[in-house]
Amino acid sequence: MNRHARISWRSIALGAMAAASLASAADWPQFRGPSASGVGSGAKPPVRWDATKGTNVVWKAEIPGLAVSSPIVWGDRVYVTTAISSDSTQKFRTGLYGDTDSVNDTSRHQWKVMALDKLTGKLLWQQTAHEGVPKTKRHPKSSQASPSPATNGSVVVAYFGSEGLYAYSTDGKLLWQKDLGLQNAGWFFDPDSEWGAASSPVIYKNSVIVLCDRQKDSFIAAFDLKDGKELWRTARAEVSTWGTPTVVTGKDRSEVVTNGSKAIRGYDADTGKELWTLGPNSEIACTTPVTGQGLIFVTAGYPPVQPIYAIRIGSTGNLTLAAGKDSSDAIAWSKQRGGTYLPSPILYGDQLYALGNNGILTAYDAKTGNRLYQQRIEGDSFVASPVAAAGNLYLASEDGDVFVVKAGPQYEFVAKNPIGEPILATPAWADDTLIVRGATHLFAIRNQEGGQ
Amino acid sequence: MHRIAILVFTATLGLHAGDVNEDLLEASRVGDLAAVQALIGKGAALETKTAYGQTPLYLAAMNGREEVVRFLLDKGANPDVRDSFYHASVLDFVLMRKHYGVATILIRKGTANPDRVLTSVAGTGNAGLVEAVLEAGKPSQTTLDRTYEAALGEKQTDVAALLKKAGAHEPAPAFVVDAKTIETYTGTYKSDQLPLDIKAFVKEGTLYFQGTGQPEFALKPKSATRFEFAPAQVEVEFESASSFVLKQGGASYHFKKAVTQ
Repeated sequence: MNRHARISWRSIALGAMAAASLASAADWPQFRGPSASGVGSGAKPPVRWDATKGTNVVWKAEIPGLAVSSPIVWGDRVYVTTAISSDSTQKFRTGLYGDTDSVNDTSRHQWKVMALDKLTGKLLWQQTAHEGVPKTKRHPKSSQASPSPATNGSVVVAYFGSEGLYAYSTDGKLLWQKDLGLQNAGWFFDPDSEWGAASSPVIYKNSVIVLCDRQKDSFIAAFDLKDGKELWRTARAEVSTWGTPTVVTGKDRSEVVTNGSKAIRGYDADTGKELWTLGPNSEIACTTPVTGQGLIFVTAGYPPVQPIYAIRIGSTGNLTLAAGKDSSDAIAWSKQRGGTYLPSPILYGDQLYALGNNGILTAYDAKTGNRLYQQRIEGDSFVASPVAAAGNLYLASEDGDVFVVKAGPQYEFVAKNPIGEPILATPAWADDTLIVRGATHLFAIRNQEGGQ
Repeated sequence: MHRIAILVFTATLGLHAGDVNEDLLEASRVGDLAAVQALIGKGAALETKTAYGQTPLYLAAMNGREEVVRFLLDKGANPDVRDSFYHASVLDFVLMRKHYGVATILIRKGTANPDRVLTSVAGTGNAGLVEAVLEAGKPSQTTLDRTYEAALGEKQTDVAALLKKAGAHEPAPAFVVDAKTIETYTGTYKSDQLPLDIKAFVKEGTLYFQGTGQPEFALKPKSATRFEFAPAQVEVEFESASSFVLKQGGASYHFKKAVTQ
């Protein structure tokens, strides 16, 4: 779909918004792109750059505040969210550590949605969705704007946890807003250790689906994109979780797959009816399911188990394996070790890759679960999820480097590319351009003439 | 009819007990002494537990609620309780969160092994806590020596002086391992027994370990293959350049090198 066609959609009145714009391959409409795959469409994406010297950096835009939400892309625009604290000393605490305490920044904040020109990085519009003191604390390496926005090309949805769910037109007009209550996601062991909401909204047909796992009364719900009307809501017997749900469309149905501490679950995407459950799982579940090859892959990386499950699409009922079994009619393969904690897995080609927070990359045969290799990446700490394009994996480290590794059954290092500031957000693709969110800037990286 | 009435009554009692127990856990966590007293008076169970095995005392202590801790201990709460998820003692979390007032109360009331308590407490560098441990019980000579050596290494002079006074011996001179041998130990190790990777690396000629999500720590050589981290009573014995056994708290964990640096 070309740009002009998209503009014509934008001009259509609200009542017609049910028919959303059609995504082009270059669009990146939500956290980790289409179906949360992390896989970009570019044929010649950048492989080598140095943002500290400007090599292959098309533009660099300062984004105020503190946010780990990922940028999204539609048409000629990049959308980002942020939370700006009036306490200018606020920052992320990066690195590997096991502290459970949270940051209680009670200064006044502004929660913003921003639209930038994809080609130049110029700010096209920004809206302050909310102002006030945060209702919950945050994890030292998280933010008050952790969920990524989502768009269908007509509506841009931003979710700020306790500060609400907001829908804007692509020109920045507020369409509606919803208060979803206190989203005090935190440590299951001590409710005072609040870490903040992080699950991103997902657009399905004419609805936006939001997963609200918190310390009490967790739920998943769908809201009409047109006016925010609640379409369905399903209670979840869950403690706090942080993963983004993934909509998986099979032969007969579309299901919303959610990671969860008490169970991994699938719901009918049209009604919210629970279709299946699967356990056991980690007590802290943060990653986003990915799908492909007829399977849904779910991982988690915290005690008591750190599983990887390959679930057959279309399964129903209680999928929990019998004692001593690692596969069944519904589970193609599984492991109780090796699941990742914060970075979500990525399915690319015939391999499933799992990147540990400590920088250990493990490749599995996606069909069988056989481990192909395990390799330490140079970076010390990783929270951003891997993305991939044109035969390479891109792994962004908290240290501020993006490592490029050749995809395939054998490990092959390609390049280490400095960004120059910590990276905690998962990068986005806009065709051949990689959009990287550092701690304070957004970078558009693309092969320039003579560059690679 | 009579039987149904009894069943209903029993169920009501059960529900009530569950409510007061949950209320007691919450009141203890937030440090509401008056509510804690009232709930104990209403029959709430002193050793009731959360789904993770935390008792009212555990929750009050890990959140630094001194008054509530004192009250619950006076009522007979078990100060040596461990949770069922991390299998950590209440003192572990209290020290991690630096609630040293609560720690002192627990140490004075506790009956836990003084070796373990001294090891945990010495790592804080807090002389008052070390003094409390030494007053409460007699740690073994081995533990005294180890914690003393660690305190000297960390330049915790007040703590070292207390341990010396309690009978700690001067440490033996450190064993020197050649750089080439130390280099062979570097890499990332995994164990089937623990959900934790250990990265071994060399910094300024010293071998360091760092577990997933944990701070790094320096290992002191005892021989070419044996190392220790005294503050946590960790012993490491390399079987070869690709595997080691880690011993801590009476348990042994076998690690194999998964990734070479």
